[in-house]
Amino acid sequence: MKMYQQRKAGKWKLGVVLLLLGIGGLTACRENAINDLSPADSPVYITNYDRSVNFSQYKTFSLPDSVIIESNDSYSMTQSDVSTRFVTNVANALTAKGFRRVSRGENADLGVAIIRVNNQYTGVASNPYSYYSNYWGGGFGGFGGYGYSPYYPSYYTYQVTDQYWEIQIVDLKNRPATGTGTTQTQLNVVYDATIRGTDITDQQAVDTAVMAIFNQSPYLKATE
Amino acid sequence: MKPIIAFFALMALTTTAWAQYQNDNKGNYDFPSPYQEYVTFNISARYGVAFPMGGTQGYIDKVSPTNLVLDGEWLFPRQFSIGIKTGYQYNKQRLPRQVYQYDNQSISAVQTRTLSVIPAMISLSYYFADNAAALRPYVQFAGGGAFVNYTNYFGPLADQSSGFKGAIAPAIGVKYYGKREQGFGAEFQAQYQNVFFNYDLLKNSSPSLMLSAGISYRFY
Repeated sequence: MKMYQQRKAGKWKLGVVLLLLGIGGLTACRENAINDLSPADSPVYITNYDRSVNFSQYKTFSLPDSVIIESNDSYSMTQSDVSTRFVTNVANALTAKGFRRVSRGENADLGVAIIRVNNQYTGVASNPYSYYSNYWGGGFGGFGGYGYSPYYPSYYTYQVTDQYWEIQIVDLKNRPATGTGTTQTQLNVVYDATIRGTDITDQQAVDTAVMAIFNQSPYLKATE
Repeated sequence: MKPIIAFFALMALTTTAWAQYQNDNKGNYDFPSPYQEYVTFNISARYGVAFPMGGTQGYIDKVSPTNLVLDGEWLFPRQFSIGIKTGYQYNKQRLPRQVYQYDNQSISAVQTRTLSVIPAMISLSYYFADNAAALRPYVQFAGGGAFVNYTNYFGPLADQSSGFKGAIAPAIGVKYYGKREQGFGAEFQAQYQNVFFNYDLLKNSSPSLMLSAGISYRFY
């Protein structure tokens, strides 16, 4: 009888091992769920607008030829093939919706900004298991210089890069009076579009993106 | 509708098979089988297809071809068993680009909806034949929980919710071993499963009907 017991125990163990192998193998499915996503299917276009605003009150817009690079807290301007394509396409799309682009320096009802967001966040975290120094792989950046003694926590830094394109439209027509002294005038953002999911790097992708964004924003029009 | 027809078809088939079997499987053995005297064991591994129902259909409405069921049972001499039940259920559906409204935002994306369920349940079964029989139809009720992972990808961005939720799973099925006291056999099961999980597009709860087939092994 005792022998039976032992045999049973052995078989159950085998069963458990097979069970874990089976689950492990199948769990891998989910990781691959988006591996076959094509470049055209990857971008996510997110638009939002001020519900209290009637866009038919605006007739003109101003759009500089360069795009703004927003990198953390600093801003700069740039021009490249892709950015020029963005500017041209956005200008065409707004013109098609009945708005008129004005030359630089002229008064306009709307200000359009095309922004290339290029944020990098750096964080520091403690790594209590310094023995497993490479556990998180290369994706999290290098580890800090603190010792690998298991008795002291070591620290590592990680870096997250967030890159995307954004189109913002601000209300220049109803802007508050020019601020006095150090107070800066706040402009109301009445429309915002961001392109997430994948980075836009070629002109074809710009065309697709701008078309999709303005197609899903039917409220953007100069006339009723 | 198809899952319901399949369910009744399986029920009808197993019932007739059992009725025929009852006629020629009694009183042929002088000594009782160990299966009838002691607590014995049965393990089973099956592959299944699952039909989403109810709230699940609001999220994914396509048949899932990726399901595994693992059962372990203690067979008691009086034709009932207590068991543990687990496995892995996975379903995925990709939708063409569409504009979705979330709060005030319009989001245009290709959604890849995935749902995985790892049940951890206790089962109680009643068999319509003795433990040594070649053909053993049964009814089963399982209850417990399930680890659910809901991941809805917008392009490559994920909207995820996961957790361990309560679950129930009544089932009917049949184990067929070929002859009396044989260890290895085949098993078929129709299981209705309801996991009490809801999130965003998956409303109320998450029921499904799974038809599974695979191998079964009894031993002592």
